[in-house]
Amino acid sequence: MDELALITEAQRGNLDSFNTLILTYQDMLFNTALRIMGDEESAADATQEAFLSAFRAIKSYRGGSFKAWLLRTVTNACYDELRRQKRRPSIPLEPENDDGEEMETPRWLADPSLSPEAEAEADELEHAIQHCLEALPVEFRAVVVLSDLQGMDYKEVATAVRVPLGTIKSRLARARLRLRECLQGFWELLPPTFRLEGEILRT
Amino acid sequence: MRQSTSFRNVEQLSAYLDGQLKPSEKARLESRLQSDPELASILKDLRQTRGLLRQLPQRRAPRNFTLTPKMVGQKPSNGENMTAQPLTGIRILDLSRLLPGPYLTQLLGDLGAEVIKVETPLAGDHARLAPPEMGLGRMYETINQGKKSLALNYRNPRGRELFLKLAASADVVLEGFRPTIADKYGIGYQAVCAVRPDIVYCSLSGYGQEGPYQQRAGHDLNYLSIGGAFSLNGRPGEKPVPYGLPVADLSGGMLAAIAILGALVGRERSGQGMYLDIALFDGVISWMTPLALSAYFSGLDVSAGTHPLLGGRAFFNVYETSDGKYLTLAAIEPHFWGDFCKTVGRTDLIERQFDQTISTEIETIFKQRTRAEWLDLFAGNDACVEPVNSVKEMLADPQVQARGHVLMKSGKT
Repeated sequence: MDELALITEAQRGNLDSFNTLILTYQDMLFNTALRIMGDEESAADATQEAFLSAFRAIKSYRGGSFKAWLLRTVTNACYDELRRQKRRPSIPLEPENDDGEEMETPRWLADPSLSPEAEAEADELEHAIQHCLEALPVEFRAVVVLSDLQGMDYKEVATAVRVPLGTIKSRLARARLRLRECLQGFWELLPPTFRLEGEILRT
Repeated sequence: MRQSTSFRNVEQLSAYLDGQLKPSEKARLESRLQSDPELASILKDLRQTRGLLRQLPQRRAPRNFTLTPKMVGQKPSNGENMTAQPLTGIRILDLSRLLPGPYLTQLLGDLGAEVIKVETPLAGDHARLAPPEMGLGRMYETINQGKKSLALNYRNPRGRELFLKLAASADVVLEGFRPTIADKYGIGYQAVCAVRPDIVYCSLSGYGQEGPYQQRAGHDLNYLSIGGAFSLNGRPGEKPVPYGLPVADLSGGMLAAIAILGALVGRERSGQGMYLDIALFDGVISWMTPLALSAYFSGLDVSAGTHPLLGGRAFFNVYETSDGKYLTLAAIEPHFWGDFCKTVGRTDLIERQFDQTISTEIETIFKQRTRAEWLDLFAGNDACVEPVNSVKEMLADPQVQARGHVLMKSGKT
């Protein structure tokens, strides 16, 4: 069954058809949420919430890019989740040793799968990029994630986050500039082909 | 950021990168870029930043986000509208060949799983080439419907690499090699676990991954004979005859399918995968347990034609009719036996249901009419008398038709 037929069936309340669509898009929505939220657990919550909202609202889908429609839903779910977290901040558990002193690298936090050097560096680079993404205001972060990670065009991003096209242009430019400046703090992790011009000038 | 460059310029550069400028704006900017190295340098920075973001790895969703009827406030389906595809989204890589493995993945495929047969390029699944005179004509088509197929030589490093890449996206791997062979090719449980830690990996072999027979070659007949089942299939004093069904292959395949389903349910709860060591031989032992083994441990003699429910008593047996055809009688319960005795006009036999000496009398009774006449006579009562259908008769049987087991296409089944 093609996508349009599945959507039509889902609009009639057919959950099996909607679940087939979920299986197609769940990786994409989860990745979007992961980059906006910063941690897997919150991203999974936002993804689940997004699909639930999407099913409830699917009758309002009137054609166009279904991918963009879903991405808008997950972006909204991320905003909601971030607002909820702000209202009810959780207290992180501080790792402590038997004497009640804080541990710098507790054993249970260490990643047991750390392996070859290259893989470790790639992980570090990913963490650095994620760190810089999280340093952005959430409105900027969502725009850069939708545009640069999910490949949406400006019009689709504007529809997804419900702001004018000009604002998207501005937010994207600001987000990229801030990311560029932040990433310069991690210059040693950047692959040679991606060393930023500013860094080259500095050395 | 360079102080001399206004934000308006950066915004234009960013939009230029994404191809979002009007042609006139684009031409003006490109002209400026030729003469302004600072602007060109910022453009390069922005492009590289965007490139870094695009290179971020895409993660696989940690679980399926499919919705249940309860989550969306729907009543669970009563079955009428269900598409019966509960395994939708489950990907199975099937390295097995011939009958047991493909049969089990067909069962899971019918439940909605995506099954990808991984076959070596030259030989592939031997069932493709099995000659009809061996009795295997069309078997391949029968148990490989709706599956995807991939030719891949996992015996060489490149093929192995591709297999593991595919395995990283799979939920289940099934292999049917002799023990240790999958490890030798580098596609065993440990190798797949390294790329997909929560994999459900099933090794389906003849005798299992351990024990003195683990490396023996064998087929259905051998598993049944070692498993004791073959000794029960015949008449007292006669040599056993092969079963009409590949019992070991199919029971072992079903056992593996059940184990895989259990492991998938367990994975949903714990997030952990599982290694499953299933033998076709295990299926035989499992099926021997309810009747033959329980009878043995209760002190009964269990051999060909002695067990009451395996041909040892008159009320549960096969009888020839006057036209050389056969009927089965399975009147275990006293009231069913009573119906039989009344229908054949022998109420004197009601009290002798377990009498071993009445077999000849029952045989004589059934020889008095044709099969069709008996079926007419027994129609509508509870004597549990049914015809021994040939394959052709089975296909035309009204119950087989009613259950949708046979589809007619262009006038042919």
